[in-house]
Amino acid sequence: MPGNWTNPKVIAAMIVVVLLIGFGTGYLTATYTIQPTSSKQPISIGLVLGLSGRYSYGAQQALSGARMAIQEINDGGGVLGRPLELIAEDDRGVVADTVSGANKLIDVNGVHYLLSTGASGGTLAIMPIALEKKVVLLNFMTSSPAITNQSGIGGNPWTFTLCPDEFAYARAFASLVNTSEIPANSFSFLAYDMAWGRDACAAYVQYIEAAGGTITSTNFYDPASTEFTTILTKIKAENPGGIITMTTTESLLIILKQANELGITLPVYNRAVGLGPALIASGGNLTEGLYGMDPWYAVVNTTANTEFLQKFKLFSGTVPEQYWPWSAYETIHALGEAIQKAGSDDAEAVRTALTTIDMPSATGGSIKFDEHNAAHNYVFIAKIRNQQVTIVTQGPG
Amino acid sequence: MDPIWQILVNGVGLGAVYGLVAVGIQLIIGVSGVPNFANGQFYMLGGYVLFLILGFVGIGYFPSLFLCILILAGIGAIAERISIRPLMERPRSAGLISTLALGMFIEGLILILFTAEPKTINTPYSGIILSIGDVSLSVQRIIMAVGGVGAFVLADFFVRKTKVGKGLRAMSQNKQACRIFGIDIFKMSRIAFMLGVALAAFAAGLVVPLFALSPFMGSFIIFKAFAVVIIAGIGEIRGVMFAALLVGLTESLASFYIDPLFRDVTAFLFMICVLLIRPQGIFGEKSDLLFAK
Repeated sequence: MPGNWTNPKVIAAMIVVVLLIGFGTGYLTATYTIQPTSSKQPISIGLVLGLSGRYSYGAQQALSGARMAIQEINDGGGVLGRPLELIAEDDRGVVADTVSGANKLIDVNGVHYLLSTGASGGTLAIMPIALEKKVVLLNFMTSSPAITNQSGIGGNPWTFTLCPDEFAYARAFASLVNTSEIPANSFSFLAYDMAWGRDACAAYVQYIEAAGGTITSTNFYDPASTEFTTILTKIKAENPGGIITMTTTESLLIILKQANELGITLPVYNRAVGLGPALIASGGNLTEGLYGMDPWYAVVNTTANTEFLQKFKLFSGTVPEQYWPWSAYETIHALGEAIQKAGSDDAEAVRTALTTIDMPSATGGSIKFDEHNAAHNYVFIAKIRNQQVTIVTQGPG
Repeated sequence: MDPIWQILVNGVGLGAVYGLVAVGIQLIIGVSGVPNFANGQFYMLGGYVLFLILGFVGIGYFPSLFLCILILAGIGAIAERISIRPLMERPRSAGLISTLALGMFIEGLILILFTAEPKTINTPYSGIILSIGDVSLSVQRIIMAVGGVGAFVLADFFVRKTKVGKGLRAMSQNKQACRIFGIDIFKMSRIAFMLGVALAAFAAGLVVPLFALSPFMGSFIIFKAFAVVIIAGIGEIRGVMFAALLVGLTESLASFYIDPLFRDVTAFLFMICVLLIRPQGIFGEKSDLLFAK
């Protein structure tokens, strides 16, 4: 009956339900530990990522990439005869949770190596923690130039970046401005209002203007927003030669729909949304002619990349939608090689060893760190033509 | 050339979106006094149910929309029984927290079942674009606007002219008096909640073909819808249409002439101004249901 909350049986039942829900969800979602089956002391690696929340689909694929690498290494006897163990913390894509997740992994789980999260703001927030606590931080997803600027000789020798930063993408893009591939030389930006969006915009503006192009406007929007007709109307009125977007997959799909609705036929150059099968299936004809800029695509034609794709599909049952799973996979292998080279799992020794590795990447580039602890793998500019992804150009990362 | 007509059309379209979600909230809050913070998630759920019906049943857009509304109304009846009815004699804050929790539950469930990967719904109308002078809009958006007006007119007629609607209005004025006169307040609460959720589903069915479907799409729109409700005045369905239009137009104008980031602030600034000048809302009466027992 409504209102009968003083009944002890009702109260007891509610307590049981709350406990079940709490323990159940906590067990299933909060911390993911992939433990090896060997009896030897494992080498623990931490991973902080938005495993639930808005970016979770790509993040779950990144986790699969990391797990696949861990399994491969452990199946081959581990590193220094010891298996690797992955402990993942879910930060839900929230920077405050990234910091608390990183601290937990370091202080409670005792990890000496940490793979960073999916937001540049999060990576920037945990870089001082890595410096203070002398933990190797491997940034495999985020591309704000501030991260590489502050790493290595920039002041933080404990942070290493394995993916290109926005300057690399901007350089590659600017090299195509005023060519037959990108005949336009004026652009409007549409970027989400976070650290990465603003940093990426600034990098592109710098290189496009250096290449003789002009910027008609830079427009930022709340990441949670779903309505773009007002911004697109403004952009249409400016009449640029193209629109450069720095958005999420959801936002990009809406932008393409609403741009079509407003009669906008400008080419869209997207940074950060992978040109994967799910995007093409969801966007249909609206994705025709869409550009993408990333360090990896499934169509990059190397033997190693083909092997990676086959293994990933077998391991996870999914096809990579963007570069995150590949990057996580290669980062774990790079770390394994560094630990092997160091001859111990001492964080300082591994940090030094990382600065000396030179290993091939599946995309045909290499993982070799410069004085800012940045590995200059390739960047690719791709385009969707006839519902297929094709590589337009590649450049240095 | 200043695209003022496109800006105004955009604003009307925006207003229709907010109004469609807000009218369902208005029905529920007017009757039960509980601000249904789960309405955004019911709106999202309506989108996913429509996605499934279109994908697996294959009965066409409008029949699918009708079926979606019926399904969500049924879900609304169950949700009301679990989250609102037990708390009807409790302070309003209990119902508020209950609907917040309900919304989180729905969002989490959809995230587990469908993942965060966005999906799209295409109708035969979303790809047909009409251009009149400098103004472009899709037939789907026209359907949305017409559907929105239709929903307002029907909801207003229902509340003012039908026996059940008069019962709902009576309940919003004085629950105790309703009991004395033999009006079943639990039945009224259930009907109001079902109607509110059904309207949210109707809104989703009209709007989602213009956007993308994601488990988080309800979280953002719910706050705008509440701003519209407060600007209109608690319980004022007629006022919702006008307030939604005002908010939509203001946002569209602010986005173009000031800055796109300013757009999302506009609704709440507008709400604050209205509350300062006329706390009961533009169309509201001085008795504030939110604070009355």
